[in-house]
Parts: sequence; structure tokens; C-alpha cells
Amino acid sequence: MGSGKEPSFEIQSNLLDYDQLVTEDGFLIGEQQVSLLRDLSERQALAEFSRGKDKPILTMTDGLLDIYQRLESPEEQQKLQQEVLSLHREMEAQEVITVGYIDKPGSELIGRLFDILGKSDEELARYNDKQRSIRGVSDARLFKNLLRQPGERSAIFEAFNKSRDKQAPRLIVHFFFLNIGVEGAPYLARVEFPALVSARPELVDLLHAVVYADTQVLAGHPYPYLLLRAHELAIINFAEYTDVEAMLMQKFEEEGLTMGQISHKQYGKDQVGRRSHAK
Amino acid sequence: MQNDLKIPIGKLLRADASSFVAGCRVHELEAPALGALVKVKLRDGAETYGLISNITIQDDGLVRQIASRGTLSPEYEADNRYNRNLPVEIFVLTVGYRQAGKLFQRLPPRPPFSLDALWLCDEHELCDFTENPTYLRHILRVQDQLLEELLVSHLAQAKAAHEVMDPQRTNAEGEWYGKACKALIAYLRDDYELMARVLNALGELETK
Repeated sequence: MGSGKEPSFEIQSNLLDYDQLVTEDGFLIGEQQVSLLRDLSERQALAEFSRGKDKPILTMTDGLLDIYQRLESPEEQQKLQQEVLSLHREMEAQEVITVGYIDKPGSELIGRLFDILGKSDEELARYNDKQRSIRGVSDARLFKNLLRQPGERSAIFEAFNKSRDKQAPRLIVHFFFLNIGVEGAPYLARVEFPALVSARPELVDLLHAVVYADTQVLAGHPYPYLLLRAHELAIINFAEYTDVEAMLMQKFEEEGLTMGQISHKQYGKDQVGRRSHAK
Repeated sequence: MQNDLKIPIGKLLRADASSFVAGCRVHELEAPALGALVKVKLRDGAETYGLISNITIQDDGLVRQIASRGTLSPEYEADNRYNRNLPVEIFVLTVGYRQAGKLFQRLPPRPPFSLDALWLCDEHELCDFTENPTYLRHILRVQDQLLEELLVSHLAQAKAAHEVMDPQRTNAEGEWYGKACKALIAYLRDDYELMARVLNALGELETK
């Protein structure tokens, strides 16, 4: 920002190989695994892009800053978390501000905080989150009456995972709530960033200003323009999907491989609701 | 006018016997103007000529949202203008073709194909093609827009090109422009209302 020129963009595509697509048991990997690979690739791309560039740099991720998806293997899980942490540390060392943007935070982190505040260590030891006294009140709802002015933010909080100390070191995430709505109609988003940023108030101010400004580009529906454009560029539309499928089918044919045929069940489904246009 | 405008400005989207439409990016849109002479080079070596009769810029929901905002950083406007894939369409009225080195001011045997490149003609080619003003009759079949405005835009460019390319001849007698006006009057002799509108519009060129 500030150059007055159009931004440049770069798209990295990665077609997964058979070994990455199929589990040891011979099943296709699930949506969660694909999301993990994508999220990790995103952090790697951000770290790579930031190397040797002029500062300040602020990156924005759609959703949580850390990666919380669980892998079946604890070893692989730990390896993944270590890699994410190491990428974040590298970016922190270069003073890159990494931001996670949660558009409609339904979490109840503050409610939990209130609930455990007055509890003794003994009570905490047998604390059961399912029996929490403040339930069903989201953080956004709690802050809606406090952050009335457009652009106003809350204090900074730390996201604390109760199993954090038992695990290997992982990214420590701080966050604030930000009113991106208009006068009389507050709309709260949660903005996450690494704990290290909180120690530098000028960096907090910078990310506060940049994130808020970026959400104000679109009239009526405030949301980071950056994320909207990233989504527009990243989405695989139907034409691209059919192009890749056609390329694969052509390759199959060239190699003399059979492509199989559509099942009778699918054929029947495709015919339902289809009308003849013949007069 | 510049000599370096022999540049591709877009690619063909669709065509029929008498007109065609090209798509281009906003960066490419900085060169072409309403009434400019353009051409499409066909694969058999022939060239189809046309005049830009309209330029449309499409919108989408995102642009409408941005447009509703007040002042914005220039980066956002530039991103929408230059990076986003919003279709800019150039409508071209076919006015002739060149085959085997010979110019014809009638409709070509077949329209150009989709994805053929659209080129802006330089002033040499503009003078060459417009030397004989009989192609002006094609403009008179335009019905869905202000015909006289297209004529003024085109004649202003062609007149300027002829004045640059052949100043002594043009200044002495206003030869090419006078010839073009006479041709128009002849074509419009049975339509006094349109002739009056056209001559009234062309009055702007007389005063410059």
C-alpha cells in the first residue's frame, strides 16, 4: 500500500501426486488433510515471499493464525506444528506482521475466561467446560455494546489452549476484536497476530489501521478486500475443473487406459428433472 | 498521431458478416478510440478492416460495492482496473478488407474467427484505406447509436491523418475531407433529416 500502483499477485498451484493422495490403508485423503496441506503451503509461501523484502510487511490469512486441525498420527501432528512455528518465527525475526482474520467469530473465549476467573486451583483441576455457567454468548455479542465506534478495538487477549503446556512449543496467538461496522450497526471481527507483536505498540497500531482500512473498501459488507481478492483468484471455477478433467481423460486415452463408464445410478440421477427441448 | 500504434489491442470474441466484437484488458484500452480504424489479420493473409463503433466496460458486484465508497487509496482502483478480469468489449463495424495486397471497401467474404488479434491501424494505413471515401456508406447502416457522433469521431481522426501525411495537398484544397463530405451528402440525398443532423455534427470539425 502507498505506492499508488496496482498490486501484483502470484498464484502457486500444486497437483498432489498419488502417494500424497492415498493413505497407507489405500483410501483417498479427506478434506481435512487437503486443508492442512493448503494451510501449510500458505504459510510457506508467505515466509518465502517475505524474505529480503522492504518492511513493514503485513500478511493476512483467512481464519485462525495457527493450524489446529488434528492429524491421526501424533508424530506427524507435532512435526506439522513445529514447521508452522518455525515459519512464524522466521517471519517474526524479519518483523513480518502475520494476521489471522476471523469474520464472524462465534467463539466463547471471553465467556470461558469469566467463568474460570473466580475459581480456585482445586475447582480448576476438575473444571468441566460442558458445565460452564456462561454458555451460548459469543465473544462478538459480548463486545458489541462496548465497541460502538467504527474502527474501535478491544484490549488484547491471549488465546490459551489448556493442553498447550503438555505439547511441544507452538505459536502463541494474541487477538483483539475490531468493530468494522458503521455508526449504530457494529460488526465485530477477531484479528489474531503473534504474541511478539503485542510487545510493540506501534506494530499493533499499524495492523489495527491497515486491517480496518482494508475492510472499509466494500460498501455495505465490510470485509478485507485483500482476502476477497485472494478468494477470487484462488477459486477453481467449473471451466477450470472441466479443463483439468479433459486433460486427464485425454492422457488416459493416449496411454490406452480405460476410463470406466458412468454408473447406472448416476445416469438415472442425471436424468431426473431433465426435459426434452424438442417440440 | 503517433506512428507506433500498430499494436494488438484485443482478441476477437464473436463476429458476423458486418461486425465483430473484441475483448481487451483495460491496459490495452488506452490506445483505441471511438471511430478508429482497426483490422484483424486472417490466417490466409487477408485483413479485415473496421471502425470502432462502441466500447463497453462491464461491471460486477465487487465494482459496484467499491464504486459506492467515497475516496479510496489508488491501489484499490488500480487493482480493479488493471488486475481484475472484467471484460472490456470493443464493437467494430466492418468496412472493408485487403486481399492479395488489394483493398476492397465492401464486406469481406467471411467474418474473422474468434481469438484472432485486433490491431489498431497507424496513420499510414488510415490514409491508405480512407483515400476512397466510399467505405463511409457502411457507417450509415449503423442504427443502434448516434451515427453522426461515430462519423465525427472517425472523420476527425482521418482528417488529421491526411493533414499530417499530405499537408500541402490537404491545406491547399481540403481535398480529402471535402471529398468525404461530398460522398456523405450523396449517400444521404434521400434522407434530409439525417443529412441535416450529420452536417450539423460535422460543423464541429470545420471550426477546429
